Amino acid sequence: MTNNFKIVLTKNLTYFFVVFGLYIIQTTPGLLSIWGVKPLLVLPAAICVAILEDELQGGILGAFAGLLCDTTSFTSFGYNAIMFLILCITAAFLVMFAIQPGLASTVSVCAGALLIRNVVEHFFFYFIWGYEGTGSLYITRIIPNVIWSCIWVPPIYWLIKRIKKWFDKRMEV
Amino acid sequence: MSDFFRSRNFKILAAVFVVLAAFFLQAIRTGDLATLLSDVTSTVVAPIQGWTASVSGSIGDFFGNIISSQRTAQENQQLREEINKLNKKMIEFESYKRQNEQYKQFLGLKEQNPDFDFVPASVTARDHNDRFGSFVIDQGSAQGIKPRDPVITPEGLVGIVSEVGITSSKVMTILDPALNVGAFNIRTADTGIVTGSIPLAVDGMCRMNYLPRESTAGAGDLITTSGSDTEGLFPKNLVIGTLKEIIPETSGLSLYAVIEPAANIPNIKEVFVITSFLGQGEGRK
Repeated sequence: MTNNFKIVLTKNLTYFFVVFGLYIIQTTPGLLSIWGVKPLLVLPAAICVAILEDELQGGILGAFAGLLCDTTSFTSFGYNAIMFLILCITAAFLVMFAIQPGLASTVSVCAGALLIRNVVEHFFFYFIWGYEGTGSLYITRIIPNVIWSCIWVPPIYWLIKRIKKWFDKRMEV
Repeated sequence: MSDFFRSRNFKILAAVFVVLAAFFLQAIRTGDLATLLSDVTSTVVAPIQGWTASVSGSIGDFFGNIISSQRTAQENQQLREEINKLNKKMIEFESYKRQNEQYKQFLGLKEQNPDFDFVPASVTARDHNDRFGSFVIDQGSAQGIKPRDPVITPEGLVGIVSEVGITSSKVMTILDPALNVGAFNIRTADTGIVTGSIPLAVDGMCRMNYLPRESTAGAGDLITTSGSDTEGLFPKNLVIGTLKEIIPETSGLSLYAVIEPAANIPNIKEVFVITSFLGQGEGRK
């Protein structure tokens, strides 16, 4: 096992532990909850990795983040894993072909991903079942969740960037 | 872009997608039964969630007591000062006190309902996207819990177990529109169905449908389970909540009532899962 391989492996394990820690924070009862709205932290973390690294690392990390969310979510098991996998790969391609990586673009991509995720979930798990008042969820839950989650993107982006920089320096050495 | 589809990365990501899709389809096919991957993931995650939930709960209780004492300081100043002194001691003995309360409630519930078998559980996680107060508890199939076991607190009905893992379970509450509970008004003897409603769930309320037009039900009436649902999901006479308001249905053929659940669903920390009761699983005769 070469030194570079060990460093890459350790870096990816670090990303996994960061996502796991963020998952614990986002699901702990009463923590980071404002008027009943809690942020989704793991998807922005996986998207940051997809943007700063590549589609493979981002996709795998997104699938892992989605699996963690599936253990507490009311949606069918695997929904979040598949959704996050696709969103992270898309984010990586956007940066590869269309936009410059940076904090502002990362926040925009995260906002778009969170919105898509919430809208698709709303459609398949509320709207098609004919529950009354589903439109109000956009005002009471979906948009507040996106805004509150996006507020946490800058510190998460900074953390992922620092981790990448630290490990990249060791690889150069 | 076309190079990507021929690359090794694409093959790895496609394989991951296929595996996840297989688990997803399996989860849909089996309904409320957890998959192997779900069991493994939740078994690893559940103990850590339990620890962080208890730490968060202790910190929240401590600051919550201080803040609430400040709000009512004028009327209860002396008592609040005593409570603040006791809070410092409470932090040290919090885990033993909570356990002791659980066992007392367990005994009280058992004395009122001798045919119940139940398992005490703690709330360890709430989904970030939770809209109906659903949560995860730290007990699962290893402790005898099965899907559709009723979940209660000493105050009243909370919901049912929707998914069971080895060491954790998901609970669907009565605020969820997907759950229907046969209900009974103790004062007027009206029967109906208690279910969730998205607009009401925001305020922590639910609704009781199919009240007859000539019903004399009014605010303050106590609503309990009727024990007459077709699948024998809930035992009889479990308190659901209090009637707040009667509203005619848009069709005008019946009424519905807004119900305030007796259990404080958004802030629950400890629950009991009824694993067995007389009449469980028996349909309406």
